Amino acid sequence: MAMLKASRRVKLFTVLPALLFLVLLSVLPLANLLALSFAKVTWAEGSATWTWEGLANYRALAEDALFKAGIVNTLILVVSATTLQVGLGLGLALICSRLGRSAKAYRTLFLLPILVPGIIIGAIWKLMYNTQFGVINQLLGLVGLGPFDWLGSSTLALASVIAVDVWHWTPFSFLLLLAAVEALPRDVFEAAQIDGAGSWRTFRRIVLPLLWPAIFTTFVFRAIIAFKVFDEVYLLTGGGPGTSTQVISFTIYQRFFVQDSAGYGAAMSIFVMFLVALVIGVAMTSQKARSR
Amino acid sequence: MKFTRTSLRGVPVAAATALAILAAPSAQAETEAPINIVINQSPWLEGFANVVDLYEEQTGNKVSLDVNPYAGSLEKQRNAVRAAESEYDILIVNGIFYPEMYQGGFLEPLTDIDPEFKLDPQIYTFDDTLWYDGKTKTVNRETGDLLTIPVNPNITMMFYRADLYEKYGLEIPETWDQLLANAKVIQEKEGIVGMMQRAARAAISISWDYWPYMNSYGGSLFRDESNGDFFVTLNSPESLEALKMYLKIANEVGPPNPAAMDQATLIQYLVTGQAAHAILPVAAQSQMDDPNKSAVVGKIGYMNLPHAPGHDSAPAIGHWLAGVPKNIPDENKKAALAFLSWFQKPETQIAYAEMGGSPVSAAAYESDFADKPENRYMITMRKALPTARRMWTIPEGAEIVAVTEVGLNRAVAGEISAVEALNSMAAEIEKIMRDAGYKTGRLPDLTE
Repeated sequence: MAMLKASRRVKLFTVLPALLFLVLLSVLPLANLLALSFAKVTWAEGSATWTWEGLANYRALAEDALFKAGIVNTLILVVSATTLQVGLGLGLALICSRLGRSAKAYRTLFLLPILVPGIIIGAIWKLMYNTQFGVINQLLGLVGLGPFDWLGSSTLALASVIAVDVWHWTPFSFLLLLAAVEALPRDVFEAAQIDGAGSWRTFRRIVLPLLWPAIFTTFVFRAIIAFKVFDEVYLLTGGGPGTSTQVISFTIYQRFFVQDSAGYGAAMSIFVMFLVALVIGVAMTSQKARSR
Repeated sequence: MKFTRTSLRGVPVAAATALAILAAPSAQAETEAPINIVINQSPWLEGFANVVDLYEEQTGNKVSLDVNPYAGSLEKQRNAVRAAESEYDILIVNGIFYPEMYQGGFLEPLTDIDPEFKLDPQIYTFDDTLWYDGKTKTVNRETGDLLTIPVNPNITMMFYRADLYEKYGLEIPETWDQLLANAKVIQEKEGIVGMMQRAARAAISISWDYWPYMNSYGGSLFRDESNGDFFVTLNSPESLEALKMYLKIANEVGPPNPAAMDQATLIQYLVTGQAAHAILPVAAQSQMDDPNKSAVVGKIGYMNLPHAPGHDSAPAIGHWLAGVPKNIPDENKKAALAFLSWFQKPETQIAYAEMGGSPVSAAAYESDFADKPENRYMITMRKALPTARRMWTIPEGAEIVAVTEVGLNRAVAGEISAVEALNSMAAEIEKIMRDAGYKTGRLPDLTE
């Protein structure tokens, strides 16, 4: 019994540094953000004053048109971009897994967009989308289409941002799904082949069910990252025209930093974190139920 | 001069003539502590960098410029003044955000650094925005402290194709309707955009563009801000007329998708000969006659902004001010003031103009230099400066501009009507003011 107690103490002692780091790096900043979300910060005589606001900052969210537009556009972006990225990533992973020796070269090629810094992606796509001299309009012009104002038109701007996000982040899905595809047991496929299953049937009945956990995890990871989209919007459209590309991270940036409304920005951040956690929680629960 | 995080390309051009004018013994020994200036990237940066070089050349003192995008510069300034000690000795503050620096108590009154310091009488005072009374929390020359010196006179002017005006026998428009008519003529005959407006959303973009329309129709943000009356009047019939005119120009003679037009795009349209008019800050003139950047060298003219019948032209002030943070060592404050004292001298201001800068002193605008054809913008500035009006003088400006940028841009994008835009903006601004403790209210909602 004494030995068991001692062993528990040793275990606790060994995880203590990690716990302290967790408290210092995650819990304390979050607690600070939470406290800030109930306050209003004003500056006078060179020093800050926190005034208790209760739930006023949270109540104000319901009336904030920019916040609502940010939530709606972010959800559209998350669902559409993530679905496309996972679909394309899966397709590329399956193709790559059958390429044999040349797979390495293709893998490197497919991964390139994820290695490009966001600021450069912004520059590249802003030039490509340019109404007057962008390569996309020039190519479309060859077949008598356009020119289109990809980033300046309210109807096209969000789709244009989503296209950039898909281009940028499909390699992420590809990488995760390629690992899963390469880990599939070969004997199952050999058995299916002996049983005379065609390609489509093999894909539907064997590949998809076996890959489902990986697809689900990839989808959730990508959705979490997509929820935080900022740089592409900041660099390409600044949230406009109107509120057509306003995403929630950009709204938080505007309220918290540009507008310097720290308390309100904190409330918005906490709400969004709660929303993301909720979505993840629901997804994980449904996945668990499905596995049972 | 040392640049940090610079985005300037190339070495600033040393203006030989200016050096000759200010022919003090070069490379003097350093007499002041080195100073660090935080400034934004802009069309007038190169001129300012040149004048800093001149200062170093003449005095031997060292100056570093920390150059940032607009929003980045503001964020760095906020962080610096709220820290125990600022890393910057001079803040170049925008005419929209200066009230929060004043109200926050972050800037040292210049006469507290040197009681003998005096503002040069020829320096423009931009609706007296250089002084602030911390007790009454108002911009007030009589009772306030001198907190800043202007470094750039950014007001807006109408840039127009003077060659096309001559070709089609058009007269300089006095009213917005006349401008619209001229823009239509050029658009139809030349196939170029009649009028460009800076209608995109940014930290401050479309608001600055719309304000002259509103002012020149007799509209206003508040009933009487100068006298402490913060009753919101943004949704007045006058403001509505102004916004309707703004939208009419955007839709009838503007480019496709006018809601996406930012300052850089306006300049691009003008210098590539694709636009007949554009409202731009004076600093953009430096690109119009530069053969490396412009296809319309010598063809751009400058005029005062039009107005509604019975009202005056009223460009909005978007000037830049230099202030000294309180939280720096005394020797740095002294060094910062030494630079500002030198900068405001009439001879420096003339040199500043010659080096491609935008001077802030009547000395430059009334000099022979201003009468040269290539400096024709200065003649327009001379007339426009006295009519320029500040947008607001309260620290809530950052919140207000966030509201107006979105509301106005949504109206141009067609998401909401002019009436909805003005009503919703007025309601949001009233809430901002009430939450901040002002006695406020707003006009009844406009109806469609």
